Amino acid sequence: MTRTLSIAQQFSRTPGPRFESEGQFSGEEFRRTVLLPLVREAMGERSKLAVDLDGTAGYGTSFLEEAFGGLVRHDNIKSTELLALLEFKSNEEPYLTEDVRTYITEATPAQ
Amino acid sequence: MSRRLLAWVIPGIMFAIGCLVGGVLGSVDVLHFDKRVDVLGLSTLVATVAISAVFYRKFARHQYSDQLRKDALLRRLRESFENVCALEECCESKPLMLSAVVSALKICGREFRLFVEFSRTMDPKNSPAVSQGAVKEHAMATRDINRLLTWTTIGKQSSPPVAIQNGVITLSGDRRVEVELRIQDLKRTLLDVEIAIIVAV
Repeated sequence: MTRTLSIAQQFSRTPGPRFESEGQFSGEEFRRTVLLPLVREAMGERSKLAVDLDGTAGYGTSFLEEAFGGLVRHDNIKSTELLALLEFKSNEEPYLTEDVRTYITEATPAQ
Repeated sequence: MSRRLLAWVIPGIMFAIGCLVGGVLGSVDVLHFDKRVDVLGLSTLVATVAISAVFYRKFARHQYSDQLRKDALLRRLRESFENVCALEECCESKPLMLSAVVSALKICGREFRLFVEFSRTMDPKNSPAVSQGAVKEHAMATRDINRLLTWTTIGKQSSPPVAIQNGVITLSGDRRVEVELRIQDLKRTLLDVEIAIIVAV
């Protein structure tokens, strides 16, 4: 089974900065309120989570890094597990899927 | 040999041969007073002119379609230019809004991808945009600009090159210069493509 997460529909059409302190619809807020619960559920069910990046006005790089890299850094999820769990779709900006994978791979867990 | 040249050269050569043959036969006729040779010379000349006209029309039509194709490509490319200019204006505006920047970048990338698709559809074998490696350069420049403008550091820094507060980006002087340089790279890439279209098509 595959769960689906559309950032435009389930979070915001105008994703914002990295941290909540920097402004609205931040990557930190997205990770905490939307992404992490879905990732945990998908891990529990051993299902995939398809993340649809289309439909938004555009992404700042730090939003994506904080949202996806932050799962490794703050929530102690292994990058390999995450890469196996998540599927990305971006028809509007195809290079984003590769970027997000890089953010996950390069993130290191906080000490 | 380009189609433009062919439109003139082939009918031109045929016309010249026709004139020569017709002329020679005509001269023979003058010497021998033979009407059959005269008719033969005249009909050769007429036939050659007709064939030349057919060839000219054929190649002129190709030439016309080439011109249309070039115009259409350049019109599409101009839209990409306008998007880069819009991005440049957006980057110079104060306050510099994060939502405006990411939106302008997305439009920039999308329009260029559309141009590339359009160019590939028109000429799958010899797309000027693809042959110039412009697709990669454009994608890299756009990505760099996005990173330069929106990458805030994870840890605290006393004077970060990029800071965002309430969706408003603040850039250091050096960072602003870097962004401007990358935008110039983007423009140069588009100019290279434009030149390639003008030369190749």
